Amino acid sequence: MSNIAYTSSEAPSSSEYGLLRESPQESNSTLNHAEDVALFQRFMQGDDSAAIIMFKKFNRSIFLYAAKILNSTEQAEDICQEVWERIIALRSKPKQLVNPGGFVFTITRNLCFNQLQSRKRTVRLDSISEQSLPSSIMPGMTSAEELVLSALDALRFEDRELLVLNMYCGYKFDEIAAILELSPGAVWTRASRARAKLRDIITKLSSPL
Amino acid sequence: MNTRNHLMLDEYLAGKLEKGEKKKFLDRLESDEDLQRLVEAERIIKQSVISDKQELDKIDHSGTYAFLMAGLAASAVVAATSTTAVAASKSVSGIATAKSIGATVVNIPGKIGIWSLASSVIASAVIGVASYKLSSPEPKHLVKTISQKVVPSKDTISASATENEPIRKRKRNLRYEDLFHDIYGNVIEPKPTPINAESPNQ
Repeated sequence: MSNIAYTSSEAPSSSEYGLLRESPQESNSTLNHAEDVALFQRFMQGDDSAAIIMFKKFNRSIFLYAAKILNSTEQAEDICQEVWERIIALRSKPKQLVNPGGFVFTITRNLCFNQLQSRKRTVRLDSISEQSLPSSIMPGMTSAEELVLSALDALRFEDRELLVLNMYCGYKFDEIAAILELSPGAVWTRASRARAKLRDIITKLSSPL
Repeated sequence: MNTRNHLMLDEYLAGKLEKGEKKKFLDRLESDEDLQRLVEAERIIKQSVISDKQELDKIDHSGTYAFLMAGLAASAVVAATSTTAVAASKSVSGIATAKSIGATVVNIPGKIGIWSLASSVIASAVIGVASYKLSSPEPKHLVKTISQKVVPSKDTISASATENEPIRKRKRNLRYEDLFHDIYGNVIEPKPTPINAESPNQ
């Protein structure tokens, strides 16, 4: 069996048996190293328009990532602001980056990770009586969304991260490999296992008792 | 977990199955309940992701954009006016102070308020530094430079020592009653002198 890319552009567009496929247009490839490096250099030299282009390019992805990892849009918004604050602070100590897209994502990832760690140390008062339920369900969710959210929560951080980057942020696996500085093969294998776990959890949760 | 079914489904979704394999997969799907459950799970995932993404895309990021703009403006002001270490440290401490003030005093969601506070503090700090530099053509050191080591003469040392010595002794000898008397006057009656003043050991 070969490695699998779920958002492969080779995938046929038919939807047999009700399977919904992501169209190639949906998987937005935002990582173009050479272009990003030039953009980042312009930003470091004081060009604010470069910062705006970077914002338009990355903010949606980092927001989606943070929102799905933290299950909170408010916290995701705060994380995004923190990311841009840190990037602006780089102007005071110029730095040469090889992979600015990966760097932006790494900041986001670290901030999300810190946020999750701080959650472990503190217990929310309203979560005490409902410990068995997901603690932060967003209002207006469909039952399918709640189900997938609960299943994602049950996965390890590394697995959840891979699936969120692929399914929600639209990164292809070779792009994720570049971001996480892993080999594409390792990413594909991990993602395949994570997806299998996710399906199994959903099957268990959705099956009648 | 049926790994084979998962892998087959993955390959089918990725479009990596050839025509014959694809037919085989679809035939298997007709009869294999486990595979049917996995397909159903996959359908739920895809549906959920699409509807969830649609909802998340509706979220307005103008707050973050405004925050970015304020940050850029603040960094531009700092960079344009002063590059000295004094100005840098002032702006950094200004941001930190403004952040804490913004967090405690101004109850604005997000960091817009904090940044506006921070930028105002930075601006005022920078203006202060700039006006200070303009008003004094030759910058004065905040810490006085001592040109020569001050060595007091031996006479001064000895005089001050002899002056201080009795005072220290007197303070050390003061008892509680004496101190109390100094403050409140003669309130406490003096203790009667013991009949046998000498200690029994003596």
